[in-house]
Amino acid sequence: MDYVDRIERARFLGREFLVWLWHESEAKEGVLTLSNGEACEVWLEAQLTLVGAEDEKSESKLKSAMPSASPEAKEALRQGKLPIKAKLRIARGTQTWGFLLNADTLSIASVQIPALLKEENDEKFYERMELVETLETILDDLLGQFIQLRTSETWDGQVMPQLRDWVRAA
Amino acid sequence: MGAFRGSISFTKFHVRGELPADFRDRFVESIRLRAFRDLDPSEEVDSRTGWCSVEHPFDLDLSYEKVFFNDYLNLGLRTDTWRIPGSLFKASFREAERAYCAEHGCEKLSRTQKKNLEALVMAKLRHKVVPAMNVVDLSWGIGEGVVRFFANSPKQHETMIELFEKSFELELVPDGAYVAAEKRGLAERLMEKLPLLEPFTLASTANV
Repeated sequence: MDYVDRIERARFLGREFLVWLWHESEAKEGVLTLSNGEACEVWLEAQLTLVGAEDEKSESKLKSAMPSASPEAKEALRQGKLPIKAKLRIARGTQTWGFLLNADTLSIASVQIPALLKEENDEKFYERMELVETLETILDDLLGQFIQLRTSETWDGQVMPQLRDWVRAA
Repeated sequence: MGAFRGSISFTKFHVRGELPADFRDRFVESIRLRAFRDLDPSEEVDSRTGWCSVEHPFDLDLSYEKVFFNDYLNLGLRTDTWRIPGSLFKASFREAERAYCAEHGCEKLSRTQKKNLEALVMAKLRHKVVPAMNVVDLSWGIGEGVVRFFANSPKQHETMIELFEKSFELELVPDGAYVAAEKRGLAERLMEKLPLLEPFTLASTANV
């Protein structure tokens, strides 16, 4: 399997990552711990789109203040749908980012970054990049935690039963 | 939307391959070779893509200072396309057809005559309109080997990757869970396991 094939073959993990993040956020009341021990807040908000694994056309597009908390969202999971797009809010310390995450490509859109201080064009660019890179570092850390777990023995033994209970209980 | 201003929406790509020792000078040279060239109405091309300054899309004289921002290489990917409104083309063609038939004493054009006349009308109209311009910012963090391309359309990605790889002779691969795991230094045996995983389902009929 060549390198690009490996990337494509593992692409479905983006959708699973969003489910895991959603579950973690609910179970831990929004407060997740990064690998360095630092806390960050993660919330799904405003927009959530789920599609069927077998039938991509079977789509649930939910829009409300907290669509992930709605009965429709859990029902979609019970129907075997997984999230392909979600609006996330991540806060660390005094900084907060809002953005739309595409699970398949891991691309991010409509990013709201913490306020900019610099006014010069070049300086503004460096500041914007720094804020974007900080967001990416947090996301990569969470994604890394998920992958570590997903490839471990713990996944089938502990995490999957927890996820099933969570979906069933809703 | 872009690297310098506006809403931030981008897709991340990873650069694979070794940078040449004198990469900064070499890259400026390659970028200049592939800088955007204006469309000429007399040419038979519908669109053209090339690099432009990230700050000013009309600035095509790409020097070191306009491209390198400390550890970042910033460019605009400019694509100009001729967009002749369908109604304008149809009306102009009908007019040209009438004039041609009157001059040559024919009632109807043959397929070849029609094709030639269409090309002629299109060329004439191109002199009257301005091409539509689309510019997407690209920011390459050289040290981290990451390209952020400020557009999320697969078609634009394809165009960018082709020009990037021609310009820099380096491979660009899309971001994904596999790359994130690799960058994070996931153990080799787990990296091997990663592409073999099967998707899970939470469907209520699934085995518990």
